[in-house]
Amino acid sequence: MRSVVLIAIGTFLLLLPGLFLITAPGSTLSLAFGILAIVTVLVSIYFVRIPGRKNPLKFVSFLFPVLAIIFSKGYIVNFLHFSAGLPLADINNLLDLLFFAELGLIAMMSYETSNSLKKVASDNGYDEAEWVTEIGKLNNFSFGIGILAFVSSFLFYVFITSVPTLNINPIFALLIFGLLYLGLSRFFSRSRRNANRDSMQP
Amino acid sequence: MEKTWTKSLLGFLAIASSFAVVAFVSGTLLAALLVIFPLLYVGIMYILDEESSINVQVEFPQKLKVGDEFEVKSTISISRGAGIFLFELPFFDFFKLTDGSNVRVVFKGIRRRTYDLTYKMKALRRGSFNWQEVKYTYNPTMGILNSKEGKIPCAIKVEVLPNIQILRKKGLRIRSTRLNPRNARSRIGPASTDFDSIRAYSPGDPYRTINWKASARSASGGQLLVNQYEREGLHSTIFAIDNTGPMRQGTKEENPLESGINLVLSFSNLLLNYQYNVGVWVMQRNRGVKRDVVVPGSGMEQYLRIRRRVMLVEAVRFVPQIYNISREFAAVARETVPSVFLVTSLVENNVMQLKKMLKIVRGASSNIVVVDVLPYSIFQKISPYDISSIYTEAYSKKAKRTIYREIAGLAEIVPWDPGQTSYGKIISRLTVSLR
Repeated sequence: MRSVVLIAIGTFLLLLPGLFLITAPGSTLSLAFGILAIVTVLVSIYFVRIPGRKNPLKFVSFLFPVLAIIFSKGYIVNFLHFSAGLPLADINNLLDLLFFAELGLIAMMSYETSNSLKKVASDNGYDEAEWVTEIGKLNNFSFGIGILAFVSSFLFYVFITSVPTLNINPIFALLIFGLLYLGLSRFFSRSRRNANRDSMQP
Repeated sequence: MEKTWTKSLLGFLAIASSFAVVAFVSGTLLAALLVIFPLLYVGIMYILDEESSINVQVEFPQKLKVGDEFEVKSTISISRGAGIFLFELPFFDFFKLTDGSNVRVVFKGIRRRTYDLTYKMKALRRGSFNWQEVKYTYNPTMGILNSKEGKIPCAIKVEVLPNIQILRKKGLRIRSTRLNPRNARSRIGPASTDFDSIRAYSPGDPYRTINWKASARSASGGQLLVNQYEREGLHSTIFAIDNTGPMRQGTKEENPLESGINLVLSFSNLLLNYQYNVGVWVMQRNRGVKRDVVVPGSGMEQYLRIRRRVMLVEAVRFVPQIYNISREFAAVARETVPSVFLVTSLVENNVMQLKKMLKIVRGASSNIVVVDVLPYSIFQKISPYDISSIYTEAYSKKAKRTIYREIAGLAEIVPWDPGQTSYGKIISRLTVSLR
């Protein structure tokens, strides 16, 4: 996959939540959040094209839709008596789009990595054709892993919501996931450390 | 591998945390999906971004000649890790890439991979070259973890020999035009059985060489006389290689020093074929080299000795007092009274110093020939402009006339432009000056 395709996918998916906030019938606050989200994404695209520079703005772009949700429903709205005005259906739609935006973030990060590596190539005299081929493979791989994680997490979500006995509240579900995640990551890191130690021995 | 939490990783975790907050504050289960996705992605990447295990094998010829083109085959196998690997495969100074590149990039996914990478190089200059390690940079897939640089031991030693022209014996007449006898001038080398003369005994002469009859008949009576036999090998010839700055005119690969060394090796090879005693004096000792003289000797072993020594010759910076005669050379010259072929490049800066040196050498040598290696054709080659009309032979002669006048009475001067006159022709010319 060419790097330009990655940045196109990334931009499109990252812009979705901001565009939704602008078009959805909410208050001025949600509109402002939408505009800020779009501006942040556009500025981050400008920076992401500079090779070798990591920019945190692409992460910041998620902040505004998150704030729009927090100010539309839940404890804070009840406490402040103040709302961004997004109806429940729109909050769910926005969360769906944010799910895709996370995939867009992965595409953007893949582009960022390949772009910074491209600078290394041009500085050190690597063969350009070979470089383009190998970077293409890297892009396919990293975005492929992103899609795998995307599908897996969706299936996991479907699983926990579809089984009636597992119809638990979100906090408890996250707690279970967090514990499971920590346990698995610990297991993998330990097994890998052991494998590395074995390979180091003569 | 030292794992570092880069900005990307922290960014992902921040997103997951913010959606956890959303899930908590708004009580929306769908927000849990947005926590699971980044955490799952980071988890997969963490598993994949492990320390790589790399094995590199490089096939490289051990001996080459200048101008040889060869293919370097390298096999790289990577068993762990996923990402982009940058490799810097063996490449030396004074070599030229003719096909492909020694810096390569490969992508490795989940599976173990083996890569066969080839490239072609050409040796441009003599010398010994070492390559200790293959450097690599491992860039994990997403840049979630920092890239890592490493080195894989890979001991490669290449010896590039000068590509000299081996001249056939029958192609040249090694016969001096001088009246001096060319035989029986050697003072070293094993004694043959060919009778030469009778002379007075001196302490140290073997008893078996005493000529008792001649001693008894001698007029002085009682004085011992000994038979003297011819020594093997012909007259001694020493090539003095000037390795000061003027010999570095041109490029690192093409300069009077390189041409001079090729000339010395070609001529030595021919003379050794004719049983001459040939030696070499490197006028400036390079760092790390103990001896500056190869004592004249005969046979092809001597050729290898000379080749080994001249392989180490490097040009040194020119300073006025540099043309001093070493003790080692002075001792050898006194003993062998050789013909000296001084291979140099005469310029205004060095001619007066060389003149002083030649005055001293003249007393300990049978004759001196100065081979002035002209760099004009090298200049022509490297100049971006067409300067062929400037550096004609007539021009060079005119420019050098004053310089040559300075040392005219001390030595025979033979100007030589390697780009204009072949090795065969110049050696043929130099044989005329042999004693």
